[in-house]
Amino acid sequence: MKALKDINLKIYRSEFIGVMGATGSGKSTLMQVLNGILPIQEGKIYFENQEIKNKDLKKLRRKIGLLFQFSEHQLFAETVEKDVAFGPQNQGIAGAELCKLVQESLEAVGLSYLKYKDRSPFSLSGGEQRRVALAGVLALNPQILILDEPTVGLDSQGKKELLSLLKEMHQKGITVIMVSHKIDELIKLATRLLVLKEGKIVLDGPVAEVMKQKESLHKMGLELPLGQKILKMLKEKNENVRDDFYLMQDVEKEIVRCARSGILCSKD
Amino acid sequence: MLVMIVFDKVSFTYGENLILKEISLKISPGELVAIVGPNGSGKSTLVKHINGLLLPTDGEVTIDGLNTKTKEHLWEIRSRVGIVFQNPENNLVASTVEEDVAFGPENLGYPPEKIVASVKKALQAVGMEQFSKRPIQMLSGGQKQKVALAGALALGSKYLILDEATSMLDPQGQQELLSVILKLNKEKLLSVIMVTHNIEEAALASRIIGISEGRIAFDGTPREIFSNSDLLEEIESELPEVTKLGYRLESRGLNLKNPVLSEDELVKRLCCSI
Repeated sequence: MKALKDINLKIYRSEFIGVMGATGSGKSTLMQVLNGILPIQEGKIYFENQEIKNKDLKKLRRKIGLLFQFSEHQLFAETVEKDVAFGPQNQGIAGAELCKLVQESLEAVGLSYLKYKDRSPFSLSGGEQRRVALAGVLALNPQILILDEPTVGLDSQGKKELLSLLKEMHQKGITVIMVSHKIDELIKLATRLLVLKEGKIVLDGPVAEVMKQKESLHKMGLELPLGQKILKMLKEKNENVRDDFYLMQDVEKEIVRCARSGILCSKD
Repeated sequence: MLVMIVFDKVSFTYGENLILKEISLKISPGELVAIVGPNGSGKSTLVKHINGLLLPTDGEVTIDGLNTKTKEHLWEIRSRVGIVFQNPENNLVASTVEEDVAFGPENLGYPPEKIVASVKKALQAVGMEQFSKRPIQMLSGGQKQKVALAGALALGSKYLILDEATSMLDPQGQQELLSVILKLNKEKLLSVIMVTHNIEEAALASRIIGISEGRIAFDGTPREIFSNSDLLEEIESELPEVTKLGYRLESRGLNLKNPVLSEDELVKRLCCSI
């Protein structure tokens, strides 16, 4: 079985790419290829205009950090500090430089170094654990950050914190690629959306462009954003409702407009 | 005999930490209860008391009058109270679907004909009968959770605990599992107690119990809780997105009779809001 088929993709610096697709569409496989964990069988991968051969995949892994699904399962060390230090240590970083790197990575994910460094990762909440895992990825100083379903299983506070952290990192110039089933999360953060189906990229473009294809998204079994779903349901009752809005503030305006002009009640 | 789950002033300490603080609680047959609360609030600890996986440090838990502290009752309690855990990989033991569902009844020494019949019935109830010979590793996450659920039904469970059982599933798997659970609750009077972080899921329950720092912070129907102004400030950011949308539209002057609990309900109310 081919998990990915003829993928052509260019990723530019400072993009925030949201990746969607039904289960089994190849999202996680694509992420693992991008990060150099999975060697490719056909085709070529370039990083900064240089071809990366399968034997050089290590280079790619150093530049591109990957946070797996349920990344807290990868925590293993007895303290938060040791866990975050593990990656850079393996790259030969030590002493004051290592200490500084760990400190910066923990602060970057919103965890105070002094408060957390000596704690066992296993005594932390789920949201904190996931942030420690993310700090471990950041400690490798990636230029590109790939996240596979980073909010699944977190409580609402943990979700909110992680998403605003990702937004902040993107604003600082890190390129982010994030797989999520939750389209409402992606439309708030992403600059570009990729949609995979059966191992192929079927939609790729700025968020507003991809969101115009709501019929094909629906056909692929992907959920529409909540606001757009409501507009679509209202439009079924009255065709004067516009259902091409997906951002919540636009949706609210449209609902208020329809309600005030009375078109929602005309049939009752 | 008392037919229900009763917590009478239950406290639980782990090491130095007081995880549950004098929890008193009754859950009646047929209820669909969602237990919500932040990570570390004691939700999972609470539900593990229902089938005697954990025993109270103080206080009593009784299931249909059977005390979980009485060793002789433990097997009976565990066949009445089924539990499905978060990770689909941790719920199953055998190599095929029917072997897995038969595991419990076999261990209880049921006669072979009874095992076959109860496995068949349980798989039918969760809509997995056509997969009975399928190897476990060929199943999706949602299907694995339904097999775990069938395992509990085959033991004759009347109460079902779901400990974040949908949280590792994709939206399709979540939907599959939830619709089976709702159906079983509605038709067969299976009482369901689900621990969840997903407030949209909790909104489907007949009752929501909020746990905070080992105590019951609130207990009521979704409609009561989502409209309780004392609570609202505290839990506002936790409300279902559609409920929040309803309140925002109200503040823009639409009369919606908030709270709304579902998309259908919002649309219905919008269509006669003036």
